[in-house]
Amino acid sequence: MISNVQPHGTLQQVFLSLWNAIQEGESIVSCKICGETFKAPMMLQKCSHVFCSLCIRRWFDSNSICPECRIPSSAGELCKVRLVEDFVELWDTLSRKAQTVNDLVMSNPLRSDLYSNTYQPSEVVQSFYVNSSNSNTDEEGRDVPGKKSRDNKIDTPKRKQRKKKRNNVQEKDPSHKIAECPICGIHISIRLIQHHVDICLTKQSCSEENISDRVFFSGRLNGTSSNAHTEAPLESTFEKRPTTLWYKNLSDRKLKDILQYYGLSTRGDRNMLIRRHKEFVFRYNAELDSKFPRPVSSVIKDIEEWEKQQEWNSISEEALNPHLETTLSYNEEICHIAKSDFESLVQQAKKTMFKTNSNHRLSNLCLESINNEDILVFTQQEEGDN
Amino acid sequence: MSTPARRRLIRDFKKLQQDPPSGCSGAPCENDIMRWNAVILGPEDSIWEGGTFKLTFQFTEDYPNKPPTVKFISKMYHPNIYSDGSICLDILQNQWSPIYDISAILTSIQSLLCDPNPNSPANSEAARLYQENRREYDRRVQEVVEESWKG
Repeated sequence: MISNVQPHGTLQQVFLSLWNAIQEGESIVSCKICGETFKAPMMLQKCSHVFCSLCIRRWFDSNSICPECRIPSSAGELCKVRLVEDFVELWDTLSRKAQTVNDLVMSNPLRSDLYSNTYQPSEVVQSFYVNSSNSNTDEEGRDVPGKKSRDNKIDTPKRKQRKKKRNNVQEKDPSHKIAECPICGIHISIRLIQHHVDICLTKQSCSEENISDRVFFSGRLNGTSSNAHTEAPLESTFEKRPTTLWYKNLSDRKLKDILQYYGLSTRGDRNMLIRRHKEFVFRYNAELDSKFPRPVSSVIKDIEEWEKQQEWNSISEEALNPHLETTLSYNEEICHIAKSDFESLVQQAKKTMFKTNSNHRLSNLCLESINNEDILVFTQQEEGDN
Repeated sequence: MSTPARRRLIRDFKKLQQDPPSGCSGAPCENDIMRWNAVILGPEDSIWEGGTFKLTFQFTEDYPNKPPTVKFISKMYHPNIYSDGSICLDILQNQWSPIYDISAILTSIQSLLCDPNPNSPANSEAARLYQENRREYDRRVQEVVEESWKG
C-alpha cells in the first residue's frame, strides 16, 4: 500500500483541512461577549442565543436586551444548555489534539521529510502515536512501572519491535524527548514545548479555571470542605440563589451584614461594597450554572483576586493616563507622541485596502486539491496502525 | 494584570490583525492596553477618499459591557462629529452591544463618514450644509481631508 502512495504533502493537506475545520469551529463554541470558549453556557429562552453565564449575567445587570438580537430579555429567562457545554469539551479536546499534531508534525523541522517526495505516511501517523503514548515511558524510553498504557494492551510483536526502534531513536536524539505541558498536560517534543506553552497560556483563562478545585456543592455542604467560609450560615442561603438588590434602600450597615453573611470582606466605601456584592451574585450564580461548580470559598477567593487586579490596574492607569482631556492641545500632544505609532497604522490601513483575501484563497485551494484517494490512504494507514 | 476587559482586548487585537477591515487599522498604546490608537482611511469613491483620520479609543474595565470612548484626533468636518472629535454614533451610546469589537466600531465609524445622520447633529453647521448646500459641504470636507495629510 505504502508504495502506491503519491506523497506531495498529502497528509499535510488532509491535516490542513482538518485544522481549518477545527479553527472555524472555534467561533461556534465561543461566547460573543468574552470571545472565549463557553463557560457554563446559558441560553436565552426567547431567541436561543447562547453566552457564558458570567458574561450574560454581568450584561443583564444594567441592560435588558439580548446582546445579539436586542429582543427584550432578562436574567430570569436564562436556561442551561448542557449539550453546548459537552460540545465545548469535545471541541477543546479535538483542538488540543490537533494542536499537538500541528506542533509535532507540521512545524517540526526535524520532520521536514514530510514535505519531500520520499516520506511515507506510515511514519507520520506513527510519530503521532509514538509521541502521544510516550507519557508511559521515561526519558530514556523505558516503560515506567505502574502505568498502564493503551499501547500495552494491544502490543503485537510487530508493534513492540516498532516501539523499540522508536525508543532507540529517542535515545540518540535528545530533540525527540517529550515534555509535558504544565498547563494542558499534553506531551510534546521538548523542542516545541516553549512555543506550545505560549499558545496554551493565551488560551487559558486568568487562572479562574482550576479543575482540581472543582467539587460539587453538595459535597461542600456535607462538610467535606474544611474551609472556614463554608461554615453553617451559608447553607441556608445557598438553597436560594442570591440576587442583586435594590441597593438604594440599603443602609451601609445592612449591606455589610449581607456581605459578611456570604463570607465576603466588608472593606471599602459604599460603591465598593455594592460592586463586591454584585460581583459575588454574578459569579456565584455562574458557578451554580456550570457543570462542576466549585466551592463558594473559591468564588470568594476569585473576587478578592479580581478586586486586587482592579485596584492595581486603576492605580497604574491613573499614573500612566491622567484623565483624557478634550482640549485641542492635548490632541496635538497625542498626535506628536504617537506619531510613529500612527504612521505605521496608516501603512497597515493602506495595506488592507489593496489586500485580497489571499489567505482564504490559499486554504481553499489546498482543500480542493485533496481528493478522496488521499483521504483513503490516510484512513487505511490509521487502521493499519491500530 | 489580566481582567476580562484586558483579555477581551487582546482577543480584539488578534482578530484585528488577522482579519483587518478594509481601510482601518488599530493597535493598543505600548504601555497601556486600555488605550488604543486607530486610523481610518477615507472610503474610496467618496468625498473622504485620500484622508487618513486618526482616532483614540479609551476603554474601561467594564468593556465589553460598556462601550469605549472614541474620539477623532484629526480635525473633522462632519454632521455627527463634535469639534473636540467626539463621535455621535448610536452604537457607541445607547445601541451598544457587548458583541461589538474594535473592528465593528471602526467599520461603523468608517461608514458613518459617508452616511451622516443630519437628524442628530453634533456639528450643526455641517449638518445644515450637508442638507442645504452640498457643494460647500464637500469643499469643507475636502479641506479636512487635505489637512489630514499634514499631521
